Amino acid sequence: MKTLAFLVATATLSVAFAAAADVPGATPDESVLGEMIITSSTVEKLPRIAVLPSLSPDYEDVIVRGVVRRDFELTGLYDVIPDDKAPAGMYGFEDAVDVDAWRKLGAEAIVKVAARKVGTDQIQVFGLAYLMSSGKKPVFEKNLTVKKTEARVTAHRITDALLGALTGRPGGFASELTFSGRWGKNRRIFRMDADGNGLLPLTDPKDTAIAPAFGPGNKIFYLISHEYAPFSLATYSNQKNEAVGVPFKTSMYGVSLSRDGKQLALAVADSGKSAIFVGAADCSNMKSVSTTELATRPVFSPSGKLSWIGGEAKQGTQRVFLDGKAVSPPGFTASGQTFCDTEDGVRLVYSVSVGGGKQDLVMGDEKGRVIGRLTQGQGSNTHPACSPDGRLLAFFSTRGSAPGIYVMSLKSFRTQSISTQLGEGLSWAALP
Amino acid sequence: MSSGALEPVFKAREVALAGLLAFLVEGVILLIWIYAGAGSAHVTAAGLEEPREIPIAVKPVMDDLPLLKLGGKKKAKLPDMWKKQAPVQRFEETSAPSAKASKAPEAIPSSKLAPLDASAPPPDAETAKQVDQQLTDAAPDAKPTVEGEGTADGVKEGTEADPLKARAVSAYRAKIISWFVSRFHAPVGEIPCEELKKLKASVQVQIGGDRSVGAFTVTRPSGNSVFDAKVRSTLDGVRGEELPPPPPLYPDILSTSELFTFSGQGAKCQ
Repeated sequence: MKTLAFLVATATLSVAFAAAADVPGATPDESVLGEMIITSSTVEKLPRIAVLPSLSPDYEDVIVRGVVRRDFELTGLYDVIPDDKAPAGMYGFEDAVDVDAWRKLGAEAIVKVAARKVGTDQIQVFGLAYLMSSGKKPVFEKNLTVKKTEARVTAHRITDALLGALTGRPGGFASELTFSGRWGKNRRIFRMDADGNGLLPLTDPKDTAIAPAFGPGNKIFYLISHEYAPFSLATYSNQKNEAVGVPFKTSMYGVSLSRDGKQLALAVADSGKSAIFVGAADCSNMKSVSTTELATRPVFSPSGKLSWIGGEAKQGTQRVFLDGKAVSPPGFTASGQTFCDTEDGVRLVYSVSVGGGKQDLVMGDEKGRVIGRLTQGQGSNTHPACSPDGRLLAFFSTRGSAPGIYVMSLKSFRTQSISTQLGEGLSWAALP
Repeated sequence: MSSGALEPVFKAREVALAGLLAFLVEGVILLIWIYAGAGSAHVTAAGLEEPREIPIAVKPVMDDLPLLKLGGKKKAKLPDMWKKQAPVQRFEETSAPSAKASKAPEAIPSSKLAPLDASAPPPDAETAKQVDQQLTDAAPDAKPTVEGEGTADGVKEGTEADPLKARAVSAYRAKIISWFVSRFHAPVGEIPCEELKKLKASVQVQIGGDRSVGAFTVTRPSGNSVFDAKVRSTLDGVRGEELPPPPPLYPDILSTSELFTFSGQGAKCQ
C-alpha cells in the first residue's frame, strides 16, 4: 500500500512538473539568458607561471608534483609553461632556482614543489613560490610533514596555499565532490577528489540513492529508496551509512544544509505537490517555508538565504526561487541551482532548458539578475556545483564525444574534463 | 554446368609417375649419406691453448671508507661537486693587546696591529697574511642601509613591505578599476574625439563597511561640463552597489575612501 502510494505520488508530481514545463505560446527569447561571456574564438592572455620540473624518481615526489601541476592547469588562472620548455639546469631538491632563465620564458611566477621521505611512512612536502619582481629568494614557503598515504591530498593543500600566496585567495583543491549516478541498475551516491581522482561508490547497489549534499565535517546527506519504498533521509560518514529520523512519512526529493550546519532544509512530497521544510540540523522544528505549489531542491546561499526550484502544478514553468521570489527568467524551465562565492561576489548558477532536450548554464548575481550564459551549443549542461574557493564550476555535460564531469574556470571560462561519469545532484565541499 | 561432369586434373599414370620419381630422389639422398659415412676423411677440432702462469705482486690496502649498509634503496643525492659551495671568508692575520699574552720577547707577534675598534674574528676563522677581497656572499647578510621592514629592491616611496600583499593589492585595484570601467561610458559623440581623449576627472568615493559605493566628491573636474556630468551620473548610478570583495587573506585592503580618476583616453571614437 505504501509503495503504491509512493508511485502514485511520484507519478503525479512528475506529470505536474512535465505539464509545467510545457508552456503554450511562442518560443521564449533566449537573449534574456545573457550573452556568452567567452566564445571559443576568444583568445585570452593569462599570466604565465612555471611549475618547476623534477628529475627525482621518488614516488611521492612524482605524485605531489603531478597533482600540483594539474591543479594549476585546472584553475584556468594561469598559462602553465610546458615541461619541455624548461631551461636546462639542475632540478634537484636543493638546487637553486634559475629565476633569470624562467623570466626569459615569460614566467611571472615560479612554483617549486617537492616531496621526500622522512621516515618509514612519512613524507615531507615543500611548496615554494617565487615572484619575478622579488628577486631570487622565495616569497612564500609551505612545508608539511604527513603520512605517505596522504601525498595526494597534501599536494592539493600545497596548491591551495600557493594560490593563496599568489592571489590572496586560497585555492579550493583540498576538497571533494559528491553526486548521484547510475552504476548498474540503480543510482548510487559517489564521491571523488576535486581533480576527478578516487571515484568511489558509497551506497548499496541494491538501493536507489539521490540528491547528496554535504553537511558539517563533510558528512554526506542523501535520500535513499529500498525496493521502491518512499525516499528517506540518510547520511554517510566515516565509511558508514545511517538512516536519519525525520517527522515525514512521504517521499523526500531534496536536502540541503546551511553553511554553518545549523539549519536543514527538506523537499517533502505532499498529496501530489511538494513543499520545502526548514528546521534544525537534527530535523526538529521543521516548518514549511515554500510559497509555490511544487517546490524541490532546497539550497542555502553562503549568506544563509534559501533557494528552491518552484512552480505551479497546473501551469507555468519551474523557476529558481530565492527568499520566496522567482529570480530566474520567466519562460525557461530552470533546475539544479547552486551558489558560488566568487572573488567578484556571490553568484547564482543554474541550468535552463533551451529546447531539443538540452540545458545550458546561466549565471546571475545573488539577487537573480542575469549576468551571462556560461554554456551554449555544447551538448546538455546540467547540475552545476561550485568549488569552495568559488573559482571553478563543475557540471555534467554531454558535449562532443566525451560526456562526463567538466570544470570551468569562472575567471577565464576555460573548461576541462575531469571524469567520464554522468549523473545528477553534484555537490562540492572543502575537506575538513 | 553440373558438378558430375567434372574430370580429374591428373591421370592415374601421371600420379604414379610422380610418386616413383619422388621415391627415386629420396633413395639417391640416402645412398649419398651411406657413401659419405663409409669414407675415412675426418675434421679435427683445434685444441685450446694451455694457460701460462704469470706471477703478480699483491699489495694489501686498508679500505678507509665505511662499508655500505645493506638495504633495498639508495638515497638519491647530488654529488657535492655539483652543488654550489659557499666561498670561505679568510681574515687577515693581525695582533691585538691581550692580558693573556706571553711575557717572553720571542712571543711578540710579527703581524700588524689591529685597529682599536676592530672586532675579533670568529674563533674558528681561517686566517691569511693578506686578504685582498672582502667576500660578500660568504659573510653574513649585509646590514640593510635603510632602516625598517622592506625589500632590497623596493623604492623609497613604497608602502608595502610584503611583496605578496603588494601583488594582491595591485590585482584588487585592477579589479575595482575594471568594475568602474564597465559602468562608465565616455560621452563619445558629444565631445570631439581629440578633446575627449585628453579629459580626466578625479573623484573621491566613500565606501561603506558592506563595500557599497557611497557619496562622492569631484576633487579635480576635467573642465568639460559634459564629461564631468557623465562622471557624476555614472557614480550616481552605482551608488549603493556592492564592490567586489577583497581577497580573503587581505580583507583590510579596501579603505573607506578611494580616489579614482575617470579618463576619456580609452574612449572608442569612430
